[in-house]
Amino acid sequence: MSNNKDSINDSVPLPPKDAEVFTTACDYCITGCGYKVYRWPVGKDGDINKQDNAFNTDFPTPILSGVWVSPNQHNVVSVDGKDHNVIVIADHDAKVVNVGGDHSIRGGTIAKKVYNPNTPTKDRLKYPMIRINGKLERVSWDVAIEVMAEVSKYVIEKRGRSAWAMKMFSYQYWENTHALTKLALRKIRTPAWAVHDQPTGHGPDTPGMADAGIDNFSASYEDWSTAEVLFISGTDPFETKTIIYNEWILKGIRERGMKVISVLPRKTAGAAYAEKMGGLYLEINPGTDTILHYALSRIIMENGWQDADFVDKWINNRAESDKEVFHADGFSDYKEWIMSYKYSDLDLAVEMTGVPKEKIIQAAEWMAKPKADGSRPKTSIGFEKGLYWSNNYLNTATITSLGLICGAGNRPGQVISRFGGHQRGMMPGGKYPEHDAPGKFPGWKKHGIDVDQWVEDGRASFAWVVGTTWTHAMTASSHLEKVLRKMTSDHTQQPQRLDMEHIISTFKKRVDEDGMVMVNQDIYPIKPIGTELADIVLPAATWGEEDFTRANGERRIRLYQKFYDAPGEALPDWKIAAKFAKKMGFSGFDWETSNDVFENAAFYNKGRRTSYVALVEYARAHNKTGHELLAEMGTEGIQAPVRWEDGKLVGTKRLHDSTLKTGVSNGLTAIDFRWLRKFKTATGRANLLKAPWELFADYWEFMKPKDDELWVTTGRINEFWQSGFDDQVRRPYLRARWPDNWLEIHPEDAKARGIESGDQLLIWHDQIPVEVGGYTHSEKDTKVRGVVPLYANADIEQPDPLESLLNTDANRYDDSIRNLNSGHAELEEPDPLLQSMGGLPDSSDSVPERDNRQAPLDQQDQLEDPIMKSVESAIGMSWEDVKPMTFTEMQKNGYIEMDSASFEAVAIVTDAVKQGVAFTYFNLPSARKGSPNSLAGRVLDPVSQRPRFKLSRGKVKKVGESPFKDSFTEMTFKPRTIV
Amino acid sequence: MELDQQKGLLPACLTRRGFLIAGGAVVALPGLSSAAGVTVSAKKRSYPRKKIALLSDIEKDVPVSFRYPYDDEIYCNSFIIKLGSEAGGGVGGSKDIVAFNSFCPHMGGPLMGVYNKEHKVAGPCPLHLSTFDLTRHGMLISGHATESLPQVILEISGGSVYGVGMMGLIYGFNDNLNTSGREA
Repeated sequence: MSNNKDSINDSVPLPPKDAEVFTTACDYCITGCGYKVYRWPVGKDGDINKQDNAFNTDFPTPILSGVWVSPNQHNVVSVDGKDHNVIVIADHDAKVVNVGGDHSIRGGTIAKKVYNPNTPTKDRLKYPMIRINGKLERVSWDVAIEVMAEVSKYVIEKRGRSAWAMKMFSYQYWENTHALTKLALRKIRTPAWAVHDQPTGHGPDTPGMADAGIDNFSASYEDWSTAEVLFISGTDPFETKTIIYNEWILKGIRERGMKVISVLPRKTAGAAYAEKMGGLYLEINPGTDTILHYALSRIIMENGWQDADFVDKWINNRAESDKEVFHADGFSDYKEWIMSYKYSDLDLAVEMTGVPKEKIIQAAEWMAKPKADGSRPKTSIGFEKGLYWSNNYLNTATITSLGLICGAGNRPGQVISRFGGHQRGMMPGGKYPEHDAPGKFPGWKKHGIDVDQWVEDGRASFAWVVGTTWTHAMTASSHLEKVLRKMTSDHTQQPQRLDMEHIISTFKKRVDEDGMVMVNQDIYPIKPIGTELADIVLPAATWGEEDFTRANGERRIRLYQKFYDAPGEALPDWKIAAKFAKKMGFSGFDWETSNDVFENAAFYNKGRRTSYVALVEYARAHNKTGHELLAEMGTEGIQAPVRWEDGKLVGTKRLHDSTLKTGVSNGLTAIDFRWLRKFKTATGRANLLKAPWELFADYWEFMKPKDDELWVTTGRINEFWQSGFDDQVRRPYLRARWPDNWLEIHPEDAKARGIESGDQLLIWHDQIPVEVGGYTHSEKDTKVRGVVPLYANADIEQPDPLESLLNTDANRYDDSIRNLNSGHAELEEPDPLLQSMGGLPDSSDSVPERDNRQAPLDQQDQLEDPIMKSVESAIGMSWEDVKPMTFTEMQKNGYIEMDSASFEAVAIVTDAVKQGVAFTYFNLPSARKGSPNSLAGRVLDPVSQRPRFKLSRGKVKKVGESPFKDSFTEMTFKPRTIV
Repeated sequence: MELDQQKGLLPACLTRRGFLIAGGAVVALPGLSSAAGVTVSAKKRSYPRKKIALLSDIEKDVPVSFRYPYDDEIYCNSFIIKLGSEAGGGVGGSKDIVAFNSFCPHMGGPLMGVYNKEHKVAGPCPLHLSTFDLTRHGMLISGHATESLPQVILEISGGSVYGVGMMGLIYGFNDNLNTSGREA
């Protein structure tokens, strides 16, 4: 393959007139910008006159032409063994998403993602490998798959289905996630399954929204520009979903005078610019959002600024199910609760959140105070992980209630939605087998297996890790890594020679001797999972190497076309899953192409937010494949749910859209869910939620920095995607910008520690709470954790000691119960999650109301607690039910261990972070020392079983000077808030 | 004499920067130096040596405009600036005089008049807010540009400052030295 001419960095070849053009979208963030790939054989370049190039443009090109190509947008790839130039640039013809070819630095350099052995992508995984005597050796696909199948059969037979575990990405294309989940959940039927960013695979990510009845991806990007007031919490879209900011939020600010309220402990460029243009920056202390939301709601209702018409029409006027949740008994009940609630006091909010009083009042006025002419401000709410990964249930419940009283949720420019992280790439192939999961809340409700703890408790004998770092990702704990090591690479049973029978028998012995066999399937060697721990490493093909589909943050579906050949023998994940499934003897994996998977999955998932069955039916009626039809739609694609009406395919701009007009349905499957126009509840009206701070208070107090500690919160940076595997590690331009992990620290905090920008820092803590145990089936597990023996593994478990403790409902494991989880969560389809998995597609449109409340186990105890006496949780539990799962009780019962961890980082002294708060990148395996995520407590939200990754604290000291302190070529310490 | 200097200096500058920038990758990924390794000898053309300004006319923190490498091309608008502290590629007694192209290598936003004196930064770009560190070869600080702000390689001779080369591709161009129809 030829060398990259662009290493000289002052020229790029231009595509000739006859260059082939492919359409795709960016592989990275939720925004999903449309891109075009121009491909032509090396040596046949075009030239600068418009008649000589595929852009039909004279060079130099004008400002905003959208076809200027930087050296980082060119590469050389192999197609059928021949070298081709490729230019990958944002689509200058785009009318949606990234209008006119706008792009982030991530997508803007995506040409460097493709495999080229003359670049830092040369270490792509190319062949299946098995670790022999500690060293990975190349094997054939047949051998790798056969070993996996033999060991899997043995594990399932000896230890049950739940000893077979899968940890996988939730987002890397529908064809792949469909095949992998069909295998794990519908065929193997293991409950030991979780996605990349959470320990358990069951339930919604934003449960407060689900309980209120709002789909967390209901908005259209246009709504982020047509609001008058936009309340943004826990993210700066400029940093993490760049083009949603550049093309939509910025447009609102500049062209319509939209006021942005940014709620963040760290000010970045987007928040700084919004503030400069007349917005507000609320510098919140980590973990106190719920308190801020109470205060804002109270100010609004005290002044009577709530949207009364909206509340009358769209809010349930009594608890939808008086057994459910924290549902308020209508607006008046909610108002009364907030008004009399001690945690809604403004002065208390000022003290706890650290946001000045006048700013809180100002924000409330902007959001809800009617204008002089009596009209109301159009307010929207958008949020992301800083909000819901710090205090999951309460933050999502209270921000939703705040939005609802402002009249947001179901109209253009008046929405409540997540902004999103990664794209929406989950297309389930099976539903989570919750009946086989041993975990349950007190009462009847099941919860998914916490796969990290499951492995740590020795319950898994086989683990298949697909496309995630696991040990460094959000649930990272040093505890997990130690256990994984012990069960795999440090186990005594290691294959000694490349002989399949020997390998299989060795792995079986390992299973018998409490070890685990691990498979790592990825595109690069992942440290340490792939490089040190996994027994079998499988090479996956990725973006650009196969035709894939996926939706972005406004449910826009596009085809991501293949434009070059994957390296070596790498295969797309769906093909690997299918190979294994067939070897296991499972039916339903006879797909020839990725389109076959796409079309199959459409019917299984017709009731989802991303429903596209109409597209497939339409394509078939017109003698096309689904992928072919999507290819014709190019980078514009179509917004799901896709409908076939009045003879045309129609996209759905937003969900719960009270202004939506639909036509006459064509095709076999009418797509006319009630939640297209109404909220996702039984009544179609939304619920206000009385979610109490007490559920979280003990944990927040414990995690709050003491003495000389600082909050050490984590987040992202515009320049990288996820763990930096493509960019921070393998793009010299970006590696020079960020050669190592860093810690932003306030000047006062730095001064007190003698720290200057560029110093090398150690950040550590030795009281990091980690949930442990729970799957040992002791009586205590049963009583406190609600863990019951596995039905799937009944042969190896003790007789159920619990039967007598369970009330009658506990044994009613019928499917319909799922409808009640977290406020009809299966209808919310909050992606990574599969609570919707397969769900009951036909029931999506109507939710039967049910009585799911249990009588309180101990009335007396409840009455003794004046605050909690009337509280019931989101999942049909009383306070008595929930209490054992609060941090205090868990600690008391020995389920919390204190872990210690540290990491090093380069100091950036900046007042962008507030005093008392430090900020670092969340997951940078390439960083020289330690993982920031390991400082985060691993204690799950008792209501949602979701983690609180963003809350960690640490001590900080200088340990030296980094090599970048005085460098002219690596890293910069200038403020990122110059606007 | 000047020709000799040009021959000697230009490759040295490019190689130095290429080497230093590649260095970061080499440390982490041994054996990958070929990716970013710069071999100036591969280049057949050369940059013009152009007089930009008199050293005595350059005041601290006051950008002076000029065009490089072509006079008749608006995207060759550049600025020279004395930062007051040593900078990557800086010339002069304090090694603090640097020069950069004036168009944002994201989508071509004009960076004239957005020099930040306090931090020695170009930007924010009026289009999408990108900023560039002028002390570190125009490295992106925040924003979207897919390369550093292209830097004009400078040389001092007899009280004058000369532009002798470019690092990075100028916005709008596919090749800084595409000479078809133009005279440098």
